[in-house]
Amino acid sequence: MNTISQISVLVIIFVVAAPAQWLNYPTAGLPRTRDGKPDLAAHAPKTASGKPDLSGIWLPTGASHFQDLAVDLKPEEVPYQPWAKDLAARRQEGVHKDDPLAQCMPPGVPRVETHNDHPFKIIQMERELVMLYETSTNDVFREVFTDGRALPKDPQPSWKGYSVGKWEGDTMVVDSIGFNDRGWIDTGMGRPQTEALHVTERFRRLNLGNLELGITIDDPKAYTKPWTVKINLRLVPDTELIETACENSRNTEHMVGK
Amino acid sequence: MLEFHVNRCYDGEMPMDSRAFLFRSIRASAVAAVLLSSTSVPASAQWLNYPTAGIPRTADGKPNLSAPAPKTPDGKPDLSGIWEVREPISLYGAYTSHFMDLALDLKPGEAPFQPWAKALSQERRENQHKDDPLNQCMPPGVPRINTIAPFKIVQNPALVIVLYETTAVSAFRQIFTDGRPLPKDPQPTWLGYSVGSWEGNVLKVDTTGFNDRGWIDTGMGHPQTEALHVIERFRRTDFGHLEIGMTIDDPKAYTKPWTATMQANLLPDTELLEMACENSKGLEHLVGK
Repeated sequence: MNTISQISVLVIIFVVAAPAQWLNYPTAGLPRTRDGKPDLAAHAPKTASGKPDLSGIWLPTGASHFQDLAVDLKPEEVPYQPWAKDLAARRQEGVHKDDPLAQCMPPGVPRVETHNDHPFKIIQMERELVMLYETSTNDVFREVFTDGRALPKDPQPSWKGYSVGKWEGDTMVVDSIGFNDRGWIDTGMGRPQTEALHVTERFRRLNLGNLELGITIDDPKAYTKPWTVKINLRLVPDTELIETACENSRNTEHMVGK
Repeated sequence: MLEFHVNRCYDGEMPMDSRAFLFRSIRASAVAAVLLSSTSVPASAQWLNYPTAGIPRTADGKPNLSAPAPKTPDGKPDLSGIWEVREPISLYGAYTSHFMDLALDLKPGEAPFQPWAKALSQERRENQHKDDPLNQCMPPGVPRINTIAPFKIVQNPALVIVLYETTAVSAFRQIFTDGRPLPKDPQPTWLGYSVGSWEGNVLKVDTTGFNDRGWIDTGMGHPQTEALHVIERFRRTDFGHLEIGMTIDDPKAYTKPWTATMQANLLPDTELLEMACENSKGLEHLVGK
């Protein structure tokens, strides 16, 4: 991986507004210790209907799954189709100039929720989860319908796809299809996807302050079998999201690459 | 006069992708380009026909849009739903929509411009709207974002979320109704910082912290400064209708506050579409000074 070129992809397209006072505004309803700090080891909260409540602002931790979604896996655990391996290799050789993020396009799923500097907010309601993402390009929202509807049969391909969710015990299982083939699954490795991509996300709130997210990539046209990773996220209390607006690829003409 | 409705049909009389068709079939001027060329509208899937839960219906199963406005468990009006301002967007001649001219409700010439703001508005029109930030795939600001495409209000007790399709990029706003004050010296943004409070049956939303790059509307190109304070008043008059009052208070651009009122219709049994602006493709074809 060419670290410098990756940095250029990341830095050029970022516009991060410095914050306002709301970045310090206390989040309501958090259990706190005697010194007023959020008690992040407290039990996961429940909704009125007894389900775990995933609501909150979350930030991925640990090694960068944004750069390499399979960072915790052995190489052979990502079973590329030959063309997909070649394409990823070409993307890694270049400076990632063709990364759609460099053109101010939105990240897809799961890349949208893997950046260690960009938190996202889950708002859980009975029939729907709304996810608000800062991203490194533009603000993105996703709707995950939990009202029992089926996935659409022949959806128009989109960046963020179509998502439905259901509870399996204490785990919210979100299935998404209907992606375009332009998204990159990760940034440094440039893993490709096709319109056959089916992403399964498993959200489990371990306690107040920790969320475990399992991600399965099932795209038989790009990978010979499904592969799964796990990301740990921490609650970011007493803050708010910041607006991001991508400045029209102003500097992409200065990028070099194959 | 070229006119069209930005119009999602949910009664089966027009093809579901009529909106996309209209967008793609009209290429007329820079204004049209603002509206159209930077837009990618995916025609949609079955979810555009998925019945919305909890809607009162008539005997034939159609949504009863004149039923009373719903309430939340705490007795407030529930503004939740997908809404669309349905006004004819005339690209030429007299403007007929708040998207083109937010000062539509005033008598001609009554927008209380500061002199520099009047000159800038004039320049933007003479320049064929080429510099409209929507052309550069930037998000529309407030209140233009309400006038442009369907949006979904998701109302929770302490937080109202608004999800917007827009014609550029998807956008969302958070309107805090938990009693917090507006931030004192916020970093300027396109969508600002919003707090809401109930005045009877009206959700009053105060927003500040805007940048000075947003255009208040499209045809007139009314300017704004960082001093802009927008007050929106949302009132659900019945199940199917939302009245939106918008007051522009920007003393650096206007000598006094001015107000517009729009009507939005509920779009039942459908969902929002994804918008992703294709990096100003075609921008080089725009003409202008």
